[in-house]
Amino acid sequence: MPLLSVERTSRCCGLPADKPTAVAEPVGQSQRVVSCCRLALTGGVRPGQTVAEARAVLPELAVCSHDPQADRRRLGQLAAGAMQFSPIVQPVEPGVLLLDVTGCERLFGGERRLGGLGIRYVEREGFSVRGAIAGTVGAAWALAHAGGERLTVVEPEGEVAALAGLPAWSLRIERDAVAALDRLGVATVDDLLHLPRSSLAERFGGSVLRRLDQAVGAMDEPVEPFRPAELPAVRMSLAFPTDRQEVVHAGVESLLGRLTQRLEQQGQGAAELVCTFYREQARPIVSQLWLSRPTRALGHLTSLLAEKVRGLDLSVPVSAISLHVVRAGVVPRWQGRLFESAEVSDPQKAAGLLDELSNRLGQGAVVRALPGDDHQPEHACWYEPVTGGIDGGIQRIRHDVTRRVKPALRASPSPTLCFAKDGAPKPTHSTEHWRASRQWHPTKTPKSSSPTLCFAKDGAPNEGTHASNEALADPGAPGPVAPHKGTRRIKSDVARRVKPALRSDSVARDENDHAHATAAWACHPDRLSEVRMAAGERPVRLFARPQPIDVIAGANGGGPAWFRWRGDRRRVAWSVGPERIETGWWRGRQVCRDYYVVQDQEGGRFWMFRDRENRRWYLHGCFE
Amino acid sequence: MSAESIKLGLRQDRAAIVRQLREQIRRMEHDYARPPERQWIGTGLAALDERLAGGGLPTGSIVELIGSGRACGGLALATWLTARAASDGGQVVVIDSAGDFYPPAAEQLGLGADRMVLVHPRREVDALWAAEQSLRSPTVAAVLLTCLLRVEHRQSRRLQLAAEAGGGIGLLVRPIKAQARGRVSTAAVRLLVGPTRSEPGSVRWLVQVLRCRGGWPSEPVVVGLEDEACDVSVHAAAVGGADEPVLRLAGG
Repeated sequence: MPLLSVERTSRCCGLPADKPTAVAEPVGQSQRVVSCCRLALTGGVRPGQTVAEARAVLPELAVCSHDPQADRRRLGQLAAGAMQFSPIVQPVEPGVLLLDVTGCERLFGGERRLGGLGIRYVEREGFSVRGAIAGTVGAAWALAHAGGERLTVVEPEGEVAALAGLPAWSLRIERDAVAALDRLGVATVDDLLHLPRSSLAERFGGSVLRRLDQAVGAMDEPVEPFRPAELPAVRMSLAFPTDRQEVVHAGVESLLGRLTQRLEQQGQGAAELVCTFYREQARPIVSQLWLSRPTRALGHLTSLLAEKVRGLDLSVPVSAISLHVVRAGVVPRWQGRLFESAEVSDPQKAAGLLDELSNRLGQGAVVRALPGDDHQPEHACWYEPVTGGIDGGIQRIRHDVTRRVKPALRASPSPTLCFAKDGAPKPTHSTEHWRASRQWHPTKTPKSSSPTLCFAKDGAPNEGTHASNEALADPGAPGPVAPHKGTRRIKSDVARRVKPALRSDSVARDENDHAHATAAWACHPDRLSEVRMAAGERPVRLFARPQPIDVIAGANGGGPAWFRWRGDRRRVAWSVGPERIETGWWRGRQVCRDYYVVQDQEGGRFWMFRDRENRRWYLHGCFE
Repeated sequence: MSAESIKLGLRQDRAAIVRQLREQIRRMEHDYARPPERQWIGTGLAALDERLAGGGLPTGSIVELIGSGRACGGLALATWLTARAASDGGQVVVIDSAGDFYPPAAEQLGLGADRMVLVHPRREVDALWAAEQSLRSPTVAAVLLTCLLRVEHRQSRRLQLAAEAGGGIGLLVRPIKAQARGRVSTAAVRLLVGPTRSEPGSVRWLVQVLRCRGGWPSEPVVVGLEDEACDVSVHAAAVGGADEPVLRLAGG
């Protein structure tokens, strides 16, 4: 995994995949590129450069700081995951996993299939990878690093032939020795093999010879079995394979007892557990357990795992069970308050419920909402799974993909323009923003309702300005209504404030449009007031995809007067808007929408917008 | 209450007797084994509180909101009530099968995202299971369950028992399509919610109490919320004279 570090970092920072990225660490006074993604490589960035040099070559390069600790942890997680292919896995920094697959291939239908599965596993975790299966660690290493293919499988005894064409550095020889060999004109492994062994040892010391021997199989090199970062792991072999659930359950229970004891000794709690059920002549079943906070409560873990055991396919008998902690953390201590019922505020109890929900319904189905730094309504809210959010690398879910959960990248924080046309771009980044934009308070006395019309020019209602045949032909339609005497006039300085705000739009092609809009808005203070009222009101239901609807709208960019939704034609009692949202250009497709809060004659409230690109109307939510 | 004590009571205030009898009925109707330690949480809507026995929603019970049509405001009212139910602390679990519940709007209705856990179950069975588990937990103050077409009597009873065990309030939002009216339900309070015309800067619902344990069904009443930040006067225009609240049960 040559790009482990940069891929992990860019995911954590939420950078889009199509942006050249590099990770850098401070060396003396300057920042040096440690590793960079493929895009950056093709752009001319090289590891070892200073960031200033790299930026000179590729100005759009995104640079993140290098976090070797987090990289190590992630590699450890991958190694733990790779234990599904072989019990002996060794992670080697910065980005190599060594697996001793001797004898494992027959469970997976051959070496090539096993290799393919392994590669698919790492790719699913989100990393680019190359693999090789060979008779020796050295050969596999060299082929994975210097071989051109995604997966190379070397036939038995074919190591020397496979290695012959590879460069000498691929044998894990020190840099100085590589440089010296290079000066001598020894470029490939083949050249190296043709040199007399005695002179090699004299010139370069034992290390080159040792690496060479390890690669061709003349010297033994064991794979050091990996123990997931000294996290407790327990394993039990059953006396004979069983397909009885209660036996498996009893086994899991006794394993958990041992595991929690170990955790107790270490003063830790499990945040993520992997329970593997090994079966004879079949692939092991791996079931994962996520916890919303580290715990070592035996009863809680037992009940969660019992749920997993209940759903277990036992058609092939289970011969062994292993249980290991993939992530651990300090068990948070909590002190109850004296005058408070201990049950209500006990976070351990709350965590118990979340774990239970999350492990049955899936990690992505039980979430907390987070504010997104984006004005586009679909992106104004992100979901974070309640479990598994302790150790970075959290996968967040967008509002419009809640139904088909998959990892979604967060968009990079970018400048957003959103006007409520009162000239004040709204602050974001916290739920305060959601709250501040509008907060409801109960009315003291119930009042009978009366409809209000949205006023267009000179206080005349929408329908009046637009000679919509349908609207005028309808006998039941209320006629134009004069504004109430008490209507508050907005002072002219408010009207003037609009102009600079609109001017601040960076999108050049909308310049004319905006100038026009500014002129139109500035002279109708009544509409400003309405827009101010509408700013920020959001519907309880926001459709994942805006639904196209038929709307008859007032003239001059007025609000809707009629619309048709699910077969019903609805007459608009009033509409408030537009709230203009222009954002998302960095996602490739700019969103230009004028949102309206609309109430129909029956009292149903809707949130619709006109797409300013194609001038079509969409229903985006309802205040259901 | 024996006959003698009623006689004695006659001398007392008439209202006190009625209150006493109501309390007794409530006990008989509900669990007589347990002393009535339940509390009532005000809805924050004065007109609705007046029509609910106890002056609000009883804790440890199920409240059903039946939306009378599309975009009728049932979910918004339920969100508001959920926020009120959790105003004294405790977690809120929102179980949303449709997957389009929008937390920013909930925040505006007073339901903060920091206390809210959203659950998106794939099947209705899972939704009911999640609701039951959440209600059973004492740390959960309110559970909002949306988009349920059918709740069998048995499931309804299970939810009720779970709510009693946990002490929270379970709010079920259901469309009227489910023929919810007239079916057997163990909900302590059933409300029919309909749309009503309102002004910009306020939210109004037409609410009818269909059933209230220990109380009486009521006529439809308009309840509403006002936007305090809104300092712009609303242009009221009378159309069509009197606005008699009418709640259509036909729905759709």
